[in-house]
Amino acid sequence: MTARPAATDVSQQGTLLPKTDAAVPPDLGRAERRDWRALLNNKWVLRALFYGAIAVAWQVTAMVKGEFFLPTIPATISGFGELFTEGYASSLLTSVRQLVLGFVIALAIAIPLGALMGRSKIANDIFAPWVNTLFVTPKQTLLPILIIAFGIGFWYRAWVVILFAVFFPCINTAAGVHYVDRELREAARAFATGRWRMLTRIYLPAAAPFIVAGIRLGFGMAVKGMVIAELWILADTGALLETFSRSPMRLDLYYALVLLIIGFAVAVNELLKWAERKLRPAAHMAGQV
Amino acid sequence: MEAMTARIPGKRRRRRPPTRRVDAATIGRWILSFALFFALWELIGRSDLTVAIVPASEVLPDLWDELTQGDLIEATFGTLEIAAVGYAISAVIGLLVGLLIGLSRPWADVLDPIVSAMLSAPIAMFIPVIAVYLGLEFKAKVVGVVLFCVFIIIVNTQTGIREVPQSGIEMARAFGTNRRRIYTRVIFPWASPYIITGLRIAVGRAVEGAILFDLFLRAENLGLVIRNATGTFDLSVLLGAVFFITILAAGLMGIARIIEWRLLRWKSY
Repeated sequence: MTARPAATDVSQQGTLLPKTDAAVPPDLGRAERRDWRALLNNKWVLRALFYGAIAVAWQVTAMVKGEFFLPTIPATISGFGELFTEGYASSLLTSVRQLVLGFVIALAIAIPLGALMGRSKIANDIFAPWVNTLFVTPKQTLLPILIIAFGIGFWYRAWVVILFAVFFPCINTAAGVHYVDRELREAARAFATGRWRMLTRIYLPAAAPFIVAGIRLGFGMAVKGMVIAELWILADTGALLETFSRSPMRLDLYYALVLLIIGFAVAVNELLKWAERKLRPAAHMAGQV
Repeated sequence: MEAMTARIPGKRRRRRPPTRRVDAATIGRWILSFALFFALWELIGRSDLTVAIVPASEVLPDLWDELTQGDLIEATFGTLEIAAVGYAISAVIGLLVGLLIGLSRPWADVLDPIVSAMLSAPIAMFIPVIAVYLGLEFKAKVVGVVLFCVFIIIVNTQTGIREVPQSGIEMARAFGTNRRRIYTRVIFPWASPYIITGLRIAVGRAVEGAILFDLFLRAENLGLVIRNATGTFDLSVLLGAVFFITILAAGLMGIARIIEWRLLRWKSY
């Protein structure tokens, strides 16, 4: 029997539970390398090599093609600083502020609605077509209508965020509550638990990881919605993205901004993933997206 | 070596459709829900609540006119063409990369950060730079659609391969199966539900992406319909277009679901 790398663990034997979040690819029984190539098994070394190569390619392309094609890496980095010193940061803050406000409203709608849909089949039957239709609609087509209805102020952006973000928290909350419903309803009923207690002590804690997963996915959609809304009317961050890639073309600022937005989205995503893990006693999160 | 297929050898299983939660009462409520929708649409349209909503009784006939006499159908084909080409390219790239990431730990370690970053990232923010590098035409839009779809396919393919239970592979190896057979008889059947689900989700993404880029890059096809209607303040056509696009998207995603269901019917859960 060939030696297996330590990562492929005995925890696979007999249990149907996949391993902890670092699920490994199927082990096809390759021999473990114990020589210098073992260094290549270290993921940070690999990442350093790969991303280092990309950075080199980037830098070379930037230097060859000039700054109107690709900014050099030092230029992009200094671009970060310039974003803040030149006062563009206030646009970013406005965007984020409106994003968060819109998202909170979306949650205030989605989570109670989802909980209701999870508990009651009647409510589910009534609201599910609406929710599903909303999900299916390409929401960018709604932008002109929203502008006509709400102008280009706060409510336009808020409504775009709401429409983008409301689906996942709603569906996930419904799933979480429904799943709990089946399992514990009988047990709780056997103990004649009062309604409020059932809600706070049983349903909410058990559904919490689902709800947080919904919030996480919903936030990703909210960011997408915000960017689309702003690009359409060229407001705040959307305006920055546009102007940095027109004349005068400041691609260094553009890429700095893009990286900032990605960083923001990823940071919040990771934060919510952590919260999800904390709320879920079982080791594994199914279907990480 | 049939041991690892989901069928139980020697036992003919009657094909049973998956149990559905849909019964007569549910369908009744759906009909009620849609009837309510049209009623509300009509009422809000007639009221003074907002200029933006035009009653259904005006929008739907106008939509019919557009469909039969106008160029709505042609516009739809234009957008769908972009979606289809983008989807095809994403499927190929997504499957290959997903396979690579799923099967190889080193590649997974390296590429996971990019893939998950791009999943959280709003693709729309790349629109300006796509325009810079690729222009505003068909090519740029197709690339945009690819960016929209490919990461979902990658993640689902990767998850599908990861979810193959090690015990199954161990058993196959214990029987002395060669590697190629492990791929075709063990990994592929186990991974295919996830992969096909990813491909299905990507259909919706492709349509949404095509419409997005038809609106934001050069307004063409369905994007042009919407822009024109916005420009002339023709709310009836605008709402009709949105209504039509929604039905179109729903229909396409429904078809994708049916295809998924048929492809996975052999799975006996």
